[in-house]
Amino acid sequence: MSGVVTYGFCEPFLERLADHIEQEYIRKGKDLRRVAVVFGGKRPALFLKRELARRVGRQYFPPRFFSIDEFMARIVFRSEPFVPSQDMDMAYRVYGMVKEHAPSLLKGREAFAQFLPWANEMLSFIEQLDLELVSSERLLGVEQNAGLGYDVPSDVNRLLENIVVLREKFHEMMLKSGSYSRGFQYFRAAQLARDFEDPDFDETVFANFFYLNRAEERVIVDLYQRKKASLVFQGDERRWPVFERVSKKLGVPIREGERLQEPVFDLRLYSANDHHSQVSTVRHILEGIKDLGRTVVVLPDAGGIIPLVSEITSVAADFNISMGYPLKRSAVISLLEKVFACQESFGEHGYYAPDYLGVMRHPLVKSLALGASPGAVRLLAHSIEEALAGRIDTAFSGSLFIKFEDLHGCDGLFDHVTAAAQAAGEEVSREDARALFEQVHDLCFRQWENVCHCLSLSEALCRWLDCFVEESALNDYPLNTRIASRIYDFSDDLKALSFAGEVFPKRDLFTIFVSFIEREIVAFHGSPLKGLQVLGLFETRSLNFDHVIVMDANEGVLPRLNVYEALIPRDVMVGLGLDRIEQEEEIQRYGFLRLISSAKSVHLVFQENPEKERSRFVEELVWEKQKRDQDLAAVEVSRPRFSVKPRTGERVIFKTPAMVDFLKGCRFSASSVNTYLRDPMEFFFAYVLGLREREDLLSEPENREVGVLVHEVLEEAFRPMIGKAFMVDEKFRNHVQKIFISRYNNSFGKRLRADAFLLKAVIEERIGRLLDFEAGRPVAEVLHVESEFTEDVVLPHATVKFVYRVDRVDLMRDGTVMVLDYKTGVSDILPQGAEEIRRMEFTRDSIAEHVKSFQLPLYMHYLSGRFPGKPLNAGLYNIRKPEIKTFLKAAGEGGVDEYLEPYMKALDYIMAEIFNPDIPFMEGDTRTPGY
Amino acid sequence: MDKTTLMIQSPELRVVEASAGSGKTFALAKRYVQLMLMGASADAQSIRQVLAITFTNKASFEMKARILDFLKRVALDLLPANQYEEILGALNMDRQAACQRARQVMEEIILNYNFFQVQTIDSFINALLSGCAFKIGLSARFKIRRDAFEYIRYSLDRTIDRAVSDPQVLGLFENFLRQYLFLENKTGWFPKKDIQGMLFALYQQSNTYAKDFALFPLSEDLLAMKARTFQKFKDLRAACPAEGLDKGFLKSFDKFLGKYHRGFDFDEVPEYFARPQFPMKAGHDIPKLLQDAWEDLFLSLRAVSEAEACASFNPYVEIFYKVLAEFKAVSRQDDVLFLEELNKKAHQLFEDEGITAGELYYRLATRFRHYLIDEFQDTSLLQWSNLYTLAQEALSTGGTVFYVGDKKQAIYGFRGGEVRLFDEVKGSFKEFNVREEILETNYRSLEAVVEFNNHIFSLQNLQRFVKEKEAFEEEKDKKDSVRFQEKDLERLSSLFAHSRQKTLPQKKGGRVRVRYVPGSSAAEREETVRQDLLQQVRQLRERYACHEIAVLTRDNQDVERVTAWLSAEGFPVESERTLNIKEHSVIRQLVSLLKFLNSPADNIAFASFILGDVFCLAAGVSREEMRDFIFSQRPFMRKDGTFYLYKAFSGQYPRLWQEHIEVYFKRAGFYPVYELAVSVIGGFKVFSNFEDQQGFVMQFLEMIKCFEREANDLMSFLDYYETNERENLFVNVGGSDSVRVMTVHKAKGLEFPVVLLPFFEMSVKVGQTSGSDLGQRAFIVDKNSDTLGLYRIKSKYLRFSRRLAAVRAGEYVDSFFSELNNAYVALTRAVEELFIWVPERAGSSINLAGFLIPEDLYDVGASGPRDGRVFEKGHDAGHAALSSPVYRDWISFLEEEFKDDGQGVRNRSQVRRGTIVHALLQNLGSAKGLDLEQWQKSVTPFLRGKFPSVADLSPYFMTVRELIAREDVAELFFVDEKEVFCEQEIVDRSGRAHRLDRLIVQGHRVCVVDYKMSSLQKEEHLRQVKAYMDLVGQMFPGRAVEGVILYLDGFSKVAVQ
Repeated sequence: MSGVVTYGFCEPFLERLADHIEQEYIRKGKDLRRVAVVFGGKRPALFLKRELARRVGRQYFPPRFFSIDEFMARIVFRSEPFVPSQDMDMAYRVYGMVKEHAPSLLKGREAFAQFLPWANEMLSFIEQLDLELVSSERLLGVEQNAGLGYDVPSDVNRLLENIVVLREKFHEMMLKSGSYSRGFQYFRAAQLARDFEDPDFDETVFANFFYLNRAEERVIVDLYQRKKASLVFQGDERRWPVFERVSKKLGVPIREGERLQEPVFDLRLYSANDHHSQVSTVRHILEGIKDLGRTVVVLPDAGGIIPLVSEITSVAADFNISMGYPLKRSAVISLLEKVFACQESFGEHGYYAPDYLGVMRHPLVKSLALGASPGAVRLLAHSIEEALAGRIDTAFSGSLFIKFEDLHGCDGLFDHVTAAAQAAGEEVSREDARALFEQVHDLCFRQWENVCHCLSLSEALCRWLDCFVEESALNDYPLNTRIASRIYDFSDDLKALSFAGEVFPKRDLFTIFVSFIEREIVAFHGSPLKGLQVLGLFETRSLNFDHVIVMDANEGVLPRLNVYEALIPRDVMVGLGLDRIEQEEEIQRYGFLRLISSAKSVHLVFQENPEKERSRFVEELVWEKQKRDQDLAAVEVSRPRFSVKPRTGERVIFKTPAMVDFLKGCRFSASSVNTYLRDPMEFFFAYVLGLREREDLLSEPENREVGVLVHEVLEEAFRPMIGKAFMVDEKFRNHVQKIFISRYNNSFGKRLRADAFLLKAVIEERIGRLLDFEAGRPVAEVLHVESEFTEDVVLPHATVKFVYRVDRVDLMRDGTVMVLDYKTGVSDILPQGAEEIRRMEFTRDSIAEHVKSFQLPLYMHYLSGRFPGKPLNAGLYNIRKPEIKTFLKAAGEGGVDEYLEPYMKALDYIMAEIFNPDIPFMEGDTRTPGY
Repeated sequence: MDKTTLMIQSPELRVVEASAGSGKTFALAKRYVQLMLMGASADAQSIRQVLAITFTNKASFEMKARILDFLKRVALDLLPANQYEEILGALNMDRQAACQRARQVMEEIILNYNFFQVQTIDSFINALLSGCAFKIGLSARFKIRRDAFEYIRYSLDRTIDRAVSDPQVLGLFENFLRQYLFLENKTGWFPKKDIQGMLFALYQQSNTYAKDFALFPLSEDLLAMKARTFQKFKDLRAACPAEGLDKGFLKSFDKFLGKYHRGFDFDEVPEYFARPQFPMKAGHDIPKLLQDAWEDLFLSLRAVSEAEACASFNPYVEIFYKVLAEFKAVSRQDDVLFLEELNKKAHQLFEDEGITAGELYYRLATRFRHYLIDEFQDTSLLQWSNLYTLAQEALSTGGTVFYVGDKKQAIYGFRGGEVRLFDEVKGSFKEFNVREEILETNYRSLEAVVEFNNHIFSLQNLQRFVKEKEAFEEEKDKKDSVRFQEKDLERLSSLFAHSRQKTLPQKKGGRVRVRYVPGSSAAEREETVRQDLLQQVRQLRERYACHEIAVLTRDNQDVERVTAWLSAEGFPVESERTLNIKEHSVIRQLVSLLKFLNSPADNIAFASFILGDVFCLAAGVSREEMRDFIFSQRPFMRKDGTFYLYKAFSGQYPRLWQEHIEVYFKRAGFYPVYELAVSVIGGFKVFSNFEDQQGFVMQFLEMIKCFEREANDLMSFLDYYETNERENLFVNVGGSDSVRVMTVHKAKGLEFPVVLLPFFEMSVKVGQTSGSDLGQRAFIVDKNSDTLGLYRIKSKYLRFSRRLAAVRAGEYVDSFFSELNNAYVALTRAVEELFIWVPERAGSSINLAGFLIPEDLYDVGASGPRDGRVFEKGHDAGHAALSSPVYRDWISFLEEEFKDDGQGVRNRSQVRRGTIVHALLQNLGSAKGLDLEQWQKSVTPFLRGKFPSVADLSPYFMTVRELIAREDVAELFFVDEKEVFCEQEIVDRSGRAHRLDRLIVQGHRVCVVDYKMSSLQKEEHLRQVKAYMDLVGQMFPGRAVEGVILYLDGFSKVAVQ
């Protein structure tokens, strides 16, 4: 092999490289083990080995492969053994140096956790300087850019001066500690390359490099000049200016031949409107490709990997993925986040109950197989949830904050566990349950309380993970296992940090952990090679396929560029020769075009919607073709779409004779009929099936619950008045006040956070106003309070049993019997007048709109039977205002029965519908969510 | 326009007024292209010098596409002749030169796409802030989020928490409560919700204007002030003579006094008190003292009204600043900046940090010389103030600024859009060659539609409209009506001065039909509109495809209503209502299942799922059977909540449970939500059972994917799903032949062959809403001074305070113009035919639109044959239908990938020990003559680098030393250096690589050595070493191949045969 070889841009790189190796080594019987091959990444080695095996036709000893990072490290390590430094450690060291040498940079971000993102920015900048061998002099000499016509801003100059100092100190520190950053390894490799001898290899082949940073360039040129290295390029300096510089340094042209090669692939474009129509399009394309083994799906955005692989299982029997899976997506992390949230809200009152339950309810916790019975933790978690939600009555039910002692000392809780276990055919004694609780509490709560430095965080993480790895169903999902393994590694890293023992606020430690999680991925190995390849763009380096499908060919993704320079102005970076955005774009353009240029068919799939536009690379290809064909319609774009037939798909439930019988035997209430009016499906669930929403004391309280409290207070206040003279005096007011305070403290007082006082003030004031209002009402006597009445209402179609829970019945001074229904909600649903009801169309919707609620008509109907001949009225008592809206304008006007007649007719219509076996339950227009 | 006017000057401020359909996008793209083509002589990298700003991302994408299309046409010489003249005429450039230059520009754009800067103002500001993050205290990688409401809510909670220990904070809330209960007389139970809503509104306002809120100074407590005034009422009543009083006055006065004890509700103050004279019966003199008291009371009422109007937000503002401090702390901790804060933050950059244009250009690595701004009528003062420095710098150095818009389409006043900027900017830059252009030709609509709008928006008609409206209000004695002043009429003239448009000669025909809809009740009017609209659509369907018909409404409620009407008649409809996945039955069933999996005690969710098609079809059971099963459980449904329906189900239907539910029951919580949902969809064969519903299911998955950016557990997803009212809810059905139903706001910038406006209404609503008072006008913002003033103005106040009346009148006029602009947008969307229904009333007030359209315009033009004009002929072109996938468990496809993971993590310490010892042995070639101390020293750095967390490596070295000291393994280690290969890789014939721990190659024999820690999986180890021996045997034919396993725990050697 000669010193510099250039392959055509449209040639399959690895096949050509294999040709060379076959010709120069294999046929000549040389030992491949004496050859080192350096690629930009690791994946090409897998493919080259496979290609060589195909040519050798038997097993063989392969050459030794290195990534460029490994190779640079090897150069340095031979001369000065070092330890690769950890990102977090370096960030902390930079933080320390900034504190010492440039404290002004810390203004407003004094804590390490606050400074961490900037420390990373500084490290990244220093790495750039090291990779590109930028000298301090150059850094200090950045001047005016003629194009912009302005001097470099003075504060930027000051920042650069600080960076010079920091970089020098940083280098000193690394040399002293023997702990090197990646940039520094390159920096040192460039300095040490001249003396580097590698006895293990006769030759080193640098394969398919494109942009070389200054450090790489110095190393490679040096080895090349000493005839220790061969270089294999692909492409041409006439097309790619990047090659010009290397070519000049090497003194050899990088040309693919006399003329530039033109690719001849079949280009297809697909415009999808979202991610899922993209992945479906990819599947659709794959369905049309016979040889999936010669096909790659490139996924520039790793976030789309799961939707893609879920989809392609339809068509690909074998595939490899070589990309990362975000750590953040796992159950382990979701539980850890809940554990941290719990610690953050933990205070002197104990744990915030919803956060505590968030941990206890997590499936990983519930699946822990601790104690004698495998399901015991599930039962324990469930019992704690039931207790906190108020479904089991314990001393701490409904409490906002809970302490270990509250739960630990609660026999009722553990008895519930015992009973539940018994019901499930298991045996868990009260003491077993208590011991189990101690274990779980210690694992998920107590041990985290004392986390104060990285060391203790590491220990807590390990202990915690050990338990879940051993005792839970975590491993049922293989990625969880891999993620757990990555967290173990991280906890090891934490232990090894130079500042592992330094004390930090707990929140900062969690921030450090979260910053790790945010960017961390676990990698799919993508080996052994088989079938379809699903790769990131970088993983395709040096590879070639017959069929290339690129997804997410969108701006912002392809190329993926960090277009902002947060620390050093972009123009200053350009002035320093660190025009990394342009370089990065060129690198990705090269990689992309190289991959597609040797393909037979190229399918580019992108999203087009109000938030996304197609990639500049797509624009480039389209323009090339349009230019060639002199035709703007030269490239057709397919627009695949899902099948969508809008439909409402209302559910229908038919009645059975048994249901009709059941309904006929039921006792109805006004509210059950009202439910039917609003949404027959909700009626079906709630009254036919008996399924109702369960109360949950942990959720934010709602109007309904205020209503319950107010009803209770008023019941307790007015019940003793039955049969006595109606009197609202100061004594009575004080009495009601006491009732309210006591009931409030036992309900909302326990449940609400600090905002309890707001609600309390409002209810208290409203009750006060209500008493003022009561004092002015001409009530002679309270007849009933929260009483239940029953009645068989005879309707033309059927006789229906009704039960009424009446809030209050008053005998007014004018002799009127007034039934009242307290309303605490927003809307008062007073039925329209009898005339309107008479005129309306008789359908459920129309009745719902006009009658609104059967409550008052039914109450009136009942009263007319109970108090014949008396003037009657019914009213909705708006507690908020307070005011009463009455059913009749004036009591005793005409015959009540006559007035009620249209309402009863409407009720008959509805009841007939409910009892009609041929009318199914349908969903109403105002469908109740959840049913 | 002559050529010199078309030519671009240096410097130049070019202002283009472009009415609807007059080619605004074309004008902007043309300008960009001209600047590029001119660049040939000026600068080789001209794209770097131009910044084009659009209102939305969508507009910026369209603009880019348009620019590229122009450039390509010029480059390929494909531009129509008239456009050549239009674009190149002003440049004095011949075709060939233009062609060459356009090719150059295209290359420049393709290779420097980052500098092809056509973007929204938000993304430009984001770029500024990202480049200046260090300077303004942001983090290096701050995240932009859209919705701040949750953060406001959380910050309020934290502030309330502080009230417990901080008396000052507690005082704020107590003050608020007094206000809430005694002054505002709010009727809600949960004041926190009202605070939340108001704080969110204040947050939005403070971001829109980047100003502080003014606190209205009160000389005395408002309650005391009212009590004092109430006492004056009482005193007045006491002083009233027994005779001669107006009876009506007396009655209402007494009723008023009877209602209150101390304070009073201003709304209840009788109208009489606004009169200048004490109301005596005719013929009775007013006693002077009484009149004095009367006037004094009037002044007190004025003071109270102004204090109430201005100070009622004081408690909210005070709480707001406390909450804002928390909000900033939390956002900072989470490293978040909200989209709506961008402009305010950038303002801080210019105002507080004094950043110069020079520094900004350094940050952006470019210097803009030309600015192009789209939709300028919707630009806010704050946005403009952020651009001002840059625009001024460009102009004063010979650059240009170009803005285009239509003042008549300014409908984003509620977001701070300031239409007056359109004219003011011209004035402020008058020294820079200001050029104005008016685009007069309508390229969109047919003659009848254009002429109709020409009439409607002619000054003559608009002035008539205002007059008739005011006459009506006067006739009806509307107390809070506002009369137009001279300046308002001037504003009207200025806005609509250029509304008249020309029609293209080829655009003859078209039709506009207006129907006035009388009726006393809303239901009656609605029914009329419904019947008529359906009839109209039926007729239109004879000539138009569904997708050519659009129904535009004012709000989303009307969208829902019309969607329901059309759907009930069987018309395919595309609107947010039909496409909302939350309304879709299959999705609701899937969510029921997820709810059940999240909380198995949720019997409703379980019942709901097993009663649905998704389950019944996949499980092969009938809904009736499930219904009967659940009904049969009714006797067991206990109130204490210990009955679990799923348990009863698994007992009665064990096969169905195992086959269809148990697997998900076990996975829930362990699988990320997306994977769980995919497995459910696959398992229940949702795609094959609901083939035509694929789009909804895919949108559901899209929503989950979007959610997973923030969290990944099922419970959080269900919360997100419940509260999500915007993100990823609507299925895209581009390409479907359906009638479009949308709001006028959404239709801005769009056009449709036929437009129907079923509720063409105009009603002027004064003030803005807060989150908790949606639908109610809660406040007015006075933004004309250094601080933002907040008013809550009740109509009763207007009787007493001219100042408040003036504030309200200003707001009324703004709102009136906003209504008019909205009407303009609505009426100018149609290309061929426009149908309008004008209901008599808009809500509870008269519909002003009735005055806008004169009756002689009720039927203009005629529906005619379409003369071969077929819209979007290729409507479905390229819209290939995607088939449904069959989801399988992808993990099972990657078994080899994960096969060792479980063991590895379980036996972590053992694996780790093995790895370290392996690493040591990897560095041990021959032990012959090896100085072990020296070896250990040389290997240590390597190990330190590989295992940084291992503090003490000596036990591992000890293991190796003990190993090689054993006699039975001496032959494996004491060999010639050249005979031993550590970690030797062999590639088999299939290309798969195998790494042998140690390979010894001697003259007659080859030995494969494999290190293992323990013999727990001995069989597997034997199999592996045998495979290695096979490989080696074939590589070294004729030599004896031996295999050895060295177990390092307990040191045993196993020879493999």
